[in-house]
Amino acid sequence: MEGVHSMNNGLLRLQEVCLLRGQRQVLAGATFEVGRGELVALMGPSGVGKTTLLRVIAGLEIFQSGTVHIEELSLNGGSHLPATLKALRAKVGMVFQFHHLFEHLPVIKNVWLAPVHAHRLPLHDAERHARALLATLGVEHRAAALPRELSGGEAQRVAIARALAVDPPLLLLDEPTASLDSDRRAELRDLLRALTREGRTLVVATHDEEFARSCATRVLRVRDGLVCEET
Amino acid sequence: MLNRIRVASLAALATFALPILIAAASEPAKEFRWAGDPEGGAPFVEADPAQPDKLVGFDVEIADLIARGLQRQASFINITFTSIDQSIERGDAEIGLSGIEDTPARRASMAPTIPYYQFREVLSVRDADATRFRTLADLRGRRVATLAGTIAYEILLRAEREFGIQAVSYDDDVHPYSDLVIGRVDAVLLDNVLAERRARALSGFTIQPQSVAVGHYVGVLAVRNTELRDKINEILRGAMRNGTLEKIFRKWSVWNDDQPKLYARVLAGESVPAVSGFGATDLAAPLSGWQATLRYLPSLLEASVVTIVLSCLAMGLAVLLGVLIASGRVYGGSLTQTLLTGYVEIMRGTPILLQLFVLYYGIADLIRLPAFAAALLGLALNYAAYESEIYRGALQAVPLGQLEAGRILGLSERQVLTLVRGPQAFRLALAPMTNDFVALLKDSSLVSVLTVVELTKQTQIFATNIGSWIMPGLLCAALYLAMSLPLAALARRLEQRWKASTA
Repeated sequence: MEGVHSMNNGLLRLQEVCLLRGQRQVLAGATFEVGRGELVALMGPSGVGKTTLLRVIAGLEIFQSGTVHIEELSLNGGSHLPATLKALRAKVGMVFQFHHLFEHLPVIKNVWLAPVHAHRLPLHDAERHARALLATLGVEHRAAALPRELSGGEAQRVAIARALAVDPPLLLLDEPTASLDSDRRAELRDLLRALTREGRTLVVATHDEEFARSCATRVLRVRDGLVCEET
Repeated sequence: MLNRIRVASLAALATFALPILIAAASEPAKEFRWAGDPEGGAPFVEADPAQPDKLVGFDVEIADLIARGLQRQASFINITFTSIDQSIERGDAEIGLSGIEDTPARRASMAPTIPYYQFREVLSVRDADATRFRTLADLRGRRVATLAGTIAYEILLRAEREFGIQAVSYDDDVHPYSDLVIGRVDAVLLDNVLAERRARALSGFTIQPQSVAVGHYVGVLAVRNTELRDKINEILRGAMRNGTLEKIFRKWSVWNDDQPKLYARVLAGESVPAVSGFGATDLAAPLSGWQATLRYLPSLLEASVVTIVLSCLAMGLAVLLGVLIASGRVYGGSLTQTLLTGYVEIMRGTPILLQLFVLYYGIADLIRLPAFAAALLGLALNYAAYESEIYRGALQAVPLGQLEAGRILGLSERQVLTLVRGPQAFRLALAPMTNDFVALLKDSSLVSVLTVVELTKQTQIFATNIGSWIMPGLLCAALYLAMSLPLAALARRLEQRWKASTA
């Protein structure tokens, strides 16, 4: 049953999550746990189901069986209740591989849109907070730009700022290094570490071995629809 | 000498004409092409109710009479009543016969025959108003209906200026009377033949005995055919003398005491004025092209205002309804989706003209919509179906990632639609929307069937009255372009601006 349950340890726990897409078993009983303040890297080659795992946790993907626990909230197989999804949105943020910034809005509005409309923050406060986030991420000078005018690295920082603007305890990042050169990768590593120091929990799907090892507190391998702890 | 010439002539005739005569006798008689509008119905021209592929009516019999006199075979060409003059001019048929009125303008630009029937313009009012509305002067501030492009319409335009009535023009002679009975108009001015015909089929109105004006039916030919016209006049005079015309009109129950008097004058070689009575002076002097343009320009401009206001309001409503329908089709449950799909398919699959007729005349017993409201609603309901398809396509073209990004941030589905999906879809829909608006601007001409006088209708009235489409057509095209080009330019600018912000 979906809804509120107590969870003794850890922030995120997946139990026996199975997901069938057509005839293909994408997840075949994925089970793992992520503790508060951890930076966990989900590793594996392309097409192995890393993105699907993140989407399951974010409530964007329906799975057939198993359970996802996030703090006191549980998601079960089958379609999710609107109330459960609403509660989930307050806990999980996501930075997509292709960012999906709102194409018709300037950067600053991309960041304050959800705080104002979904969280009813006064526009003035939301905008100030958005500017502060952009400044922290080093892209405040791009506040008036449109997404199409940003470089890959800038777009990613704006996407992170947008996700952080609603202050989720758990942040999911899908292939964050895909469009970055080595300097930018190092900057991103520092940024993610800083976020965990603030107490945020991060799950990063990546096939970038070096990046994963340099910043993750723990590395998990996705293989044949299962998640294994790296030994 | 004379005899010798005669013999020589006969020999020449025998040499040259005999083979032709033999050939003519062995071939079917040459066709005599005549034009009419069967929509005008009995007693003029109509499809025989017992045999719909056969035409009957007094004009059909007169055409046969003329064809026989010319030793030719009558062949009918179906032409819309208001286009008969132009059609004759361009040679589709040799003569137009369909209760065509003799007017000074026709006399100036065409070659009409001698008049073969005299009619009276009569006023019809609801039975309850028979004592208070006896003449046009009694109808100040009231709506008076008639058929567009007729003498009666010109008379009503004069009465608008003189008595403050409101002229309402129809495309047919049936709906003025049905609208009179249900109260959409307060009187109808048409000739006695039409009025008496309707009185036989519909009750509730009275034909006032006093006639407003007197006019005549003629056949109409092109000026280059005056020789044929003179031959036809001879045939008609013969039919007046030997009682053939009387027999035809008696058969169709329209013979009256006015006709022997007319025939006597025609046969005596007297000139018969085209129109006499109220408004005749307005019709007397045919206007030159420039005079006519000056006279009609204000009404063309007024009609342009009707066109632009109607189009803008209809488009506004169509956009609103289209957005709702598209949202329902994208987000609604299966029942909503089925109902809305049904609506869209019905509106797109049936002619807009039919929808307008149903809205104005079809449901008049349930809701009596004013003409402008019916026109506005008809255009909006039809275009909403097309708009909704554009918006549905545009909504579905917004990448799923954009919607998921909104959802993950905690926006509700409604907020995702109004803040993310809708604005992006609108930018995609703008170009086809502009296209539709220009199409609607032109389709608004269809509402003239509901008595709304918009630009095309006013142009048609103008063209019919001056007997030429050149100047009215040019003016009409210029006015449509003056309305559509700035709109297209504005839309292009918006499109460029938004394209720049999303490319």
